[in-house]
Amino acid sequence: MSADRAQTVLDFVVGMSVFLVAVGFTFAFVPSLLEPYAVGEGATVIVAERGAARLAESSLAAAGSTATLSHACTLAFFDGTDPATAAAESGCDWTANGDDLHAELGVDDFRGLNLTVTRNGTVRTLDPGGANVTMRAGPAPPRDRSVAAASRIVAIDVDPEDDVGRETHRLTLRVW
Amino acid sequence: MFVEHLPDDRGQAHTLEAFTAALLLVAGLVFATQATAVTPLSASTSNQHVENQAAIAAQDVLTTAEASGELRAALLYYDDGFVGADDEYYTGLPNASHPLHGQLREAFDNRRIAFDVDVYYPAADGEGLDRTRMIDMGSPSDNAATASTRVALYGDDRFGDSDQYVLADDGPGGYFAAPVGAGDTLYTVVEVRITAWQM
Repeated sequence: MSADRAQTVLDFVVGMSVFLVAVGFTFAFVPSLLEPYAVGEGATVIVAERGAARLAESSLAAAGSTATLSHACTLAFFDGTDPATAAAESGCDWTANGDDLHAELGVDDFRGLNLTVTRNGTVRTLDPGGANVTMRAGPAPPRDRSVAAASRIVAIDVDPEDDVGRETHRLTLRVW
Repeated sequence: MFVEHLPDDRGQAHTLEAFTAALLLVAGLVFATQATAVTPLSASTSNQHVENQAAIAAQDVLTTAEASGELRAALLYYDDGFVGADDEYYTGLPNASHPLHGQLREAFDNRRIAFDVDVYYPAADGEGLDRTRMIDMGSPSDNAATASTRVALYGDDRFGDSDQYVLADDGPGGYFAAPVGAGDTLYTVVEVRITAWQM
């Protein structure tokens, strides 16, 4: 080895690996820096808010009121009653029942939708004389994806016979 | 392959420089990530979606309670201070006998959201508005959301622990709001305002 070679192959390997590690680190981190500003996630939030508003204010709402749900329309919606029958019998506003949330809310099929009506954190049921109808529609939200949720506070006549038994529920629409 | 710098015996110094440069680069990136950790769109107590949800919940509570008459009942649940309150107003969720207990619990208390309920009404001397607290959980944060509605109270409305008083007769002395003018039927119009914020 000649005495005037200051830069050796070993030096080059160390320098180069440090450089490559730094470049790799940069590429791994820049996307996460920009993530909060990325679009796309925001759309699900808007879909959730608009969908919940649509359900609480017109689809399931009693005539002439917002946020107060009609017992008959809500029951028929989760019951899977035919839209034409529900409109004729109870004057309901929805055009597709709980089995087809996408059609009712006008949301593309590639998005997931889940609707629940809860009280104290548990999904409630409506009781049309014996057969309980759970107020839940759509598949369970996935655990590995970002899910947007919007809630409305609604009142439902649990017993349509007397006007006093109106209870507060939380209507939650999840979108992913 | 290597460019010969003659005479050059300072290879160590070049390696040190590479290390220093890499360290600066990494430190800069780490600092940048820390600085942008909370943005207007990241999930936090000041997130716009959280504010919207609190405002919608407050408005829904007022709308449903007004439609069912429970808001009026809560306003008339007053007997020298709101009934059952420690100090004229409640400092937390009112007890189960309160007309608004169910709504407020479902909307806010179950979610650990703090809220104030204030009642504004025309002052007795006719100048501006006076305020009475119904529920006070402290000072709202900068990102609090509010909703309000107006309720008309009539002279024949009954108030008190067990509706024993009539507004037209006992209101001027016993009720927090003074009568407006000398109306035969209308007693006053109050504005109920809910302020909700994430704790």
